[in-house]
Order: sequence, then C-alpha cells, then structure tokens
Amino acid sequence: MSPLKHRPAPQPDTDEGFRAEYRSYIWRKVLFIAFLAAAMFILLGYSVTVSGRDMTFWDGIMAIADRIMGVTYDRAEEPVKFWNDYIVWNSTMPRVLGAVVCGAGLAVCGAAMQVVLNNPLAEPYTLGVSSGAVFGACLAIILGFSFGSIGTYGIIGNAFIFALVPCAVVIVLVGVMKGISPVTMILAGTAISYFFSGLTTLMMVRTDDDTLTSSFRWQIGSLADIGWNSIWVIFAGTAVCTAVLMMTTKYLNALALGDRSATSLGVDVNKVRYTILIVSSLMVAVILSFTGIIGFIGLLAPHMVRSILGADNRYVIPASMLLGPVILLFADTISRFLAEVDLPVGIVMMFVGSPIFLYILLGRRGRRVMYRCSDMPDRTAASRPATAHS
Amino acid sequence: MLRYAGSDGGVKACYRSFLRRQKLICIGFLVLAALCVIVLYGFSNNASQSYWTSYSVLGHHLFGTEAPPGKFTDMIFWDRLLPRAINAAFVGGALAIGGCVMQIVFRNPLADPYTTGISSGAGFGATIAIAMGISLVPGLTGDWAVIANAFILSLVPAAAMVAVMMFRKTSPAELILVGIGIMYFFGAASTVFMLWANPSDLSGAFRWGLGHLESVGWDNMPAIVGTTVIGSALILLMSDRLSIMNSGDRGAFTMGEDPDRVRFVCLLLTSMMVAVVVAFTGTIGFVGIVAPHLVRLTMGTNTRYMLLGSFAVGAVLLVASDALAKVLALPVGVIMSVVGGPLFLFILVKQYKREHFV
Repeated sequence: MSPLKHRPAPQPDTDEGFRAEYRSYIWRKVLFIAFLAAAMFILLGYSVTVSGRDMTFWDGIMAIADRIMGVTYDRAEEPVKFWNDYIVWNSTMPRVLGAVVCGAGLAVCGAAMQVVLNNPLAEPYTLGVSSGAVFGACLAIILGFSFGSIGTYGIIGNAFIFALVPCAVVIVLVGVMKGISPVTMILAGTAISYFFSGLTTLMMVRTDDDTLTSSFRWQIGSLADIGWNSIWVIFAGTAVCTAVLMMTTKYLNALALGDRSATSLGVDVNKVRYTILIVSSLMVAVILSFTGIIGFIGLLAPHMVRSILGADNRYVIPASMLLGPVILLFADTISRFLAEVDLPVGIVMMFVGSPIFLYILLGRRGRRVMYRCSDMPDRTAASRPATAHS
Repeated sequence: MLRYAGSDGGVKACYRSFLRRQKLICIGFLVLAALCVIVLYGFSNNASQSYWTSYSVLGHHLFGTEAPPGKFTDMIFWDRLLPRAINAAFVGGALAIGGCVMQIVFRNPLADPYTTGISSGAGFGATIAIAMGISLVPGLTGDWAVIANAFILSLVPAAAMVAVMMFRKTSPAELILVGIGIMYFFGAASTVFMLWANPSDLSGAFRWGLGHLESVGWDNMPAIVGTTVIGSALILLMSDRLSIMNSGDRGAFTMGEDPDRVRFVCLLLTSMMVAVVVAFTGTIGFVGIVAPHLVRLTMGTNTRYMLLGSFAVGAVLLVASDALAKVLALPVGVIMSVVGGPLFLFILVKQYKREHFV
C-alpha cells in the first residue's frame, strides 16, 4: 500500500505546504502522548482502589488528594475515610507506583534496545540481564550465598550484582572491539545468558522440590513485594537512567538508518550505543532485582507505539514511557482483581499482552514499516534528518 | 582468487576448489559425528564396566561374536546407551538443521527451531499432562500422554503461524513477532499450571522443559530417526531455493522464486520435524541456535553445505554433551549451556571481523 493513501497528498513544491504538513505530523504525535499521559493518570487513580476493600474511584482520588494536602483522619471518628486512606497509602499505592515506574523503565529500555541492536526482537533482557539476575537470586535462595545481608535484601543485592555481569561482558566487548556489529552483540548476549541459565538450572535441578518452587516463583515477575522502601530505590534508578536515554533519542533516528549512514551524519555510533547499553542495563538490573522478570512489556509497548505513531524515535521513546505504565498498571489491576487465584503480574502481562500484540501485528495499521522513518514527510526522511546532529 | 581473475577457466577452477574445500569440511563434520556416536556411546556407564565392554556387546549383536558375561551388561549397553547415543545424534542434527533453516528464512540470527512457538506449545502440553494429568488423546497415561500432548499442542502455534501466512502478507520480522506473541501466551499458560501444581509436579514439569535423552530407547527411535531423515532430506532438496532467500525477498523475486512460498514450505517442514523431536526429548535449547552459527563462522555461508554442516555439528554437539551429561549425571541442556556458552563466545570474539552474518 502506498504511504500516500492515508495522508493528504503533500505539496512538496511549496515550502509553506511542507511546513504545515510537518507541523501536523508533530502535532498528532504530541496529542497522542498527551492522551497516553491522561490515560495513565486515570488508570492510576482507579487502580489504587482495587483491593479487598469496597471503594469507588472518587474515594481513591480523595484519599490521595487528602494525603497530599496533609489532611489526616481520626480512626474513631471517620473510620471509613481512615481505612480508605490506610489501604490506599500503605498497600496499593506503592504497588501502583511500582507498576508505573517499572513499566516506564522496561518499555523505554525495550524501545532503545530495538533501535540500538537493530532487531525488532530485542527487549530489555536481550543482553542477558535476566539470566544473570536469576542466577544471583537462585544463589541466594538455593545455596544461601549472598553479598551483604541475608534474606530478601540478600536476594535483591545478589540479583542486582549478577544482572550486571552479562551486560558488563557485552559492554566490554563493545569497548574493546571497535566496530562490532549489533548481531555479534546479540549473539554474545545469547551465549552469556545460556551460560548463566545453565548454571541456574544446575542449582535448580540439584535442590529439593520446595526450594525449586520458591526459586521458580522468584522468576515470575511480581509487584506484590514492592513497598515504600523499595519504590524509592527503583524510582531513583529509573528516573536517572530514563533522563539519560531521553537525551540520546535524537541520535536514535540516525542510528536506525544503519551504522554507516549514522556515521556519515556525524553521529558517534559507538559512543551512543555504549551509553545506551550501559544505562539501560543499569536500569533493568535495578527493576529486575526488585520485581523478578516481567517479560513482554519491553517488547509490546514499543511495538504498539510504533504501530500507531510510526518509527520516529523522538516520539517513540516518550510514548513508550507512558504506554508501558498503562499496560503494566492494567495487568497489575487485573492481577489484584483475581487476588484469590494468585496470578502474579508477570503472567497476567503475558496473557493480556499476547492478544494485543497479535492484534497490532495483524491489524491493518500494523503493516506499516515500523523500523525506518518512512512515514515522515518526504523532505525529512532519510535524505535530511535535520535533528540528527543538532 | 585475484590471481585467476583474468581467465574464465581460472575462476571456475578456483570456485570448484572452494566448493571442494567446503564439501571436505562438511564430510569431515559428518564423519566426526559418526565417530562421536561410536566412541562416546560406551563411555559412561553407571555400572562399573570397562570401556571396551561396550564394543564387545556391540560386536555380539552385530557380528555374533562372543558375548560378554551378564545380561545386565547387555541391557545397559544395547538397550540403553546405544539408542541414546544414536538418538542424540539425530535429535541434535534435526534441531540444528531446523535452526539453520529458520535463520535463513527469517533472516534473523536469533531465530532457532523453536521460533514458531513449538517449544512453548509442547511445554504447555507436557505441563498439563504432568501437573493436571490431562491427556488430549484418550486412554493414554504416563509418559505417552506427555509425548502425545506435547506433539499435538506443539503444532498449534505453528498452525497459527501458517494460517497467518496463508491469509495475510507479512514480512519475516512480523512473522517472527507473531510467533513470539503466541509463544508468550502458551508460556504464560504453562507457568500458571506450574504455579498451581504441587512442588513435586512442578519439579517434574521443570525437568521436562530442560530436555532429556535418557527416556529414548529402541521403541521411540524409528519415530525420531525417520522424521529427522525425511525432514532433513526434504530441506536439503530445497537448499538451492534457500540460498536464493539469502539475497533478500526482492532478490529472490528477481530470481524467479516466491519467498513467501519458500518460507511457508520451510516453516511447515521444520515444524513437523521439530515437533516430533520435542515431543520425545523436551525442549533442548542452545544447539539449534548455536550450531548454525558455528558452521557459519568456520565454513562460510554456502547454504547447501551450511545445512549439512549444521546437521553434523548439531549431532556432534549433542552427542558430546550427552556423554558428559551421563558422566556428571546432569541434564544435557545444562552441560551444553555451561560448556558451550563460553565456547561460542570465544569463537564469536575470535571471528568477529569476518562478516559472515546475513
């Protein structure tokens, strides 16, 4: 299908016509991002009320608003409001914020990885972060070995430290060997994850059935254990890393054209790739060590955004950052609805995600080219990405 | 090569010698695979028998020479170890050639024989058989229920993908993503059942997923060997078309080949072949993705020899890891990952400058 079919014919001869078209191109994307932000906040407001307690949407909003305004309730005089506030603030709020932060982090990471590794299958875990984290966690759960303290924090610490090992290897390879191709990077990541998952399997096979169960459970991503203490750590890590990633988005469009084109446009390909790999590994390691492996979101959110917005990475990254939380919040809300059947968010995510994913792939709009900037107005396409080195 | 550039005959001679070298390497790999089976088969019996006993058992059965004493010895070597080694070779070969085909038709280095979601479907089937005791074929119980379930359900994702290909025009990347979507769905389903199962069933399902060669004997051998041989032969017959696929969809069109049709046929063939293998052995990872890359790194990308070479290298890899697995009493998947992972990385780093990748 010609790309001209669903867009008014451009008037490339007049400068004014071109500008108008470019403005509307930008405007549509900004509008979509604004819509996503609104959706996220509404879902957030609704999601805090989903617990064992009977609450309406406004009860939840009021509880949050009152807490922010500093209003407190007395337990004896206003028990309903007191308990609403208590449940929202101590039980659902950290979890909901956790879903927002983790969703944002993983989605942004996935979007960046897909461009940097030049592969639509890439996701935050492609370089082996998850295999390292699982290895670390199993080391703590099965063998009782951990750096520092014992118990939950031992598992988290182990997972974080070992999550960085596979990425460190890949990143060192990128640093030592100039001009290493993304394919080699992915394969190196695959090799290292095989190594670590082999070791993990070794431990899991040798242990008894109950320990196996608990280490299996750790691997399924869950937001149930996130409390206020952990949310700050995750938030700080994700915020810093996302900010850095946001600064690199303008280079990503050039990178998507291929290494040679990017270099000829004045982008230091190795440096950009290096930065993004380090930053996203750090971010994923932080998230992963608290939640376990929440799969699919890093793949789903960017692909959904691309199928709606097109491949312009200046907008794909922020939009993924908002769509990720929306999806993960949705999944987590369902997981809390079904609290008695015990479905961690990682599983709900896959159940919810795969039909959506298939729909966007097979739906009409999914057939657009998603990995090049081909839906941009003609003059800003491959021949002139003015944003690349501004 | 440059030396001969002037004369046409020189170029032809050079090309012939190039092909001959690849053919030699290929045959070398195949011989190595056969040797591996023969040398390693008796290597590790848990009974304390000497290495040469294995060959006297073999001699007794094949040539009627004098049998070593003991029915037990005979049982171990003839009924357990030999079929296991032969099966390992064919399973490894099937997975590797399947991986090679997938990497070519999808033009993605991360593709493996399970890319169509076969592993997740099979895993789901095995999990419901182990954890819930559900058999899709009425009347089957125990291991055969697991095998039947795994086979039937492993074809579901592949069938879905085939349906997508029939009714819609999709690019290879989108097709892979469809496979991944289906894979996640089945993966989630089996995780749910594993989560709800009691710890010992969970352990059983988990072990099934790791891949196992100890359960294959003479009785399952015809199924595995037969499918592998037929499937691989058909794939090898298509090798010319596959090498046209290497030049991209447009390139294939200009050479008079319909890339979608080739993709369709290859997908169907590989799925059937791998589904049978997976049903009997569980999901053995690594070999399907790594063996083709090892061949590509050592031999180059001539498709015909690459397919054959992948088969041989896959066979060598799996037989060797299985021998080690027997000695250490570990699942074969663990051995392959732990030993093969770093090895693969080493080769990758050594060869990274040669641009052999598609």
